[in-house]
Amino acid sequence: MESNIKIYLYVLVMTGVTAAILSTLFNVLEPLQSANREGAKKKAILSSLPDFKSDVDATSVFNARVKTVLLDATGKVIFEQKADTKEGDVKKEMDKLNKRGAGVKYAELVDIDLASEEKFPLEKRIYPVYRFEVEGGKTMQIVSVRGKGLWDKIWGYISLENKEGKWTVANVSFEHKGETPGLGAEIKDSKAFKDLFKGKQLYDETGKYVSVSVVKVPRTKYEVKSISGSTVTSVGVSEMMIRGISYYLPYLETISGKAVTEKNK
Amino acid sequence: MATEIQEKESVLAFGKKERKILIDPINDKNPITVQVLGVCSALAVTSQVYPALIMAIGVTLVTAFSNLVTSALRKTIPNSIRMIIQLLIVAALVQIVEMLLGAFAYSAYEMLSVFIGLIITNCIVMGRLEAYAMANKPWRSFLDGVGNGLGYGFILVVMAIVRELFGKGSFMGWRIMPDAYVVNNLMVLPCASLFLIGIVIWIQRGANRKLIDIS
Repeated sequence: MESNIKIYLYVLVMTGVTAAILSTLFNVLEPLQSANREGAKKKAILSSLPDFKSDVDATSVFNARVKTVLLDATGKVIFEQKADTKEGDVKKEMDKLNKRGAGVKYAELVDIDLASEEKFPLEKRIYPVYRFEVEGGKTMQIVSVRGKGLWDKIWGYISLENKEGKWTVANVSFEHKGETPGLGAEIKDSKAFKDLFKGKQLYDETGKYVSVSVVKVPRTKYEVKSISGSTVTSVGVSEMMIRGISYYLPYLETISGKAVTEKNK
Repeated sequence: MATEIQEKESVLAFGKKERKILIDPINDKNPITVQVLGVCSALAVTSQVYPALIMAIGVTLVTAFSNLVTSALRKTIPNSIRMIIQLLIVAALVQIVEMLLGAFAYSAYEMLSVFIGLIITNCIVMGRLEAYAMANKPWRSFLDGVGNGLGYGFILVVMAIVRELFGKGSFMGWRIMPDAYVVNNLMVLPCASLFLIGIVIWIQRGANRKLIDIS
């Protein structure tokens, strides 16, 4: 039998050596990891665009053509990234957001997501809008939504365009954490399901906000057909589309109003 | 003195014995189908070929190097805490694999998510450390780790090929089944791997006479 002192020393040395190796390696690899995470997020945002091709370099497209706008819970713009926005301004804004606590640590605009925002009470949350410049001076607004599926959270990005004064869904991309493959997971995997949302208007003829609901038998042009066999996930998507987009309505109305008045001049 | 000379000779040698150590776990002593270790991850990560392949490489690296390190330290490890030390080595290696994947193979890292961390609990790793590395020299232990990792990976990839082909109609993400083929969603669910393992064991026992009397 070994003495206790030898055992303690052995454990101590082994732990020390392992910790040293791991922390060195972490410091070397962390920049690569966070770049990967950011790239994946940018790709997820861009994949909600109507003609997104998965082989493009998402990071460079995102950096060149997307500007982020931050809204508070009432839909008011609290920060707008412009072509001349300096890194210092972004940093100041991020510091302000990080002060809200809850362990949220944003370093860049793209870090902001609804999963972190969920830690705050409703009135303290902020909502990111990604403004994508389409060729020809037009823009598309990509909004971020988040809701509940059958087993776990579902979330997505919805790209919206202003078609003759009417807000229209250009395309959607959905993600999920643990929906059943072949059933609930089809919200992400099935292109046919996502295509149903294309061209749907957010407001009905009377100007009432209706969003796009997912139902078993669509009767109006503001509804799409659910995936059979995954009722709960479909209901979750429906709820997410209605509640999720509603946070952005004041913003959407302001910018479309602006567009109309500019035309009238 | 005599033992020391012998040890020097066996360093990096690759003879009949070493070959057997490396090849045996792929068929005769396969960790999944014969030793029935590491079945849980075989059920979980075999719905597509790419993550299965990455998982196989990850487990092979972990078994090989944890065997190597444990075997190198085997004479110094106090017997009463040997399991804790083994676990420390395995956990550190798994963490290294996780960090490397996060940096260099991000999509696989996302697909495997929690299962990388769960390599720690993969019975093959601890099983080989206790059964082999604690009693053998580093080089042979390393080969034993590689062999067991490959044996595990081989079954994983075979199952993933079948499951992805019938469950998604594709191979490594490329659609190869004709458009008319309706995918079989059952193959994507974890239960499919359970009976696929059964079928693999059946075929293997049918082909390999040596296995028939084992159990």
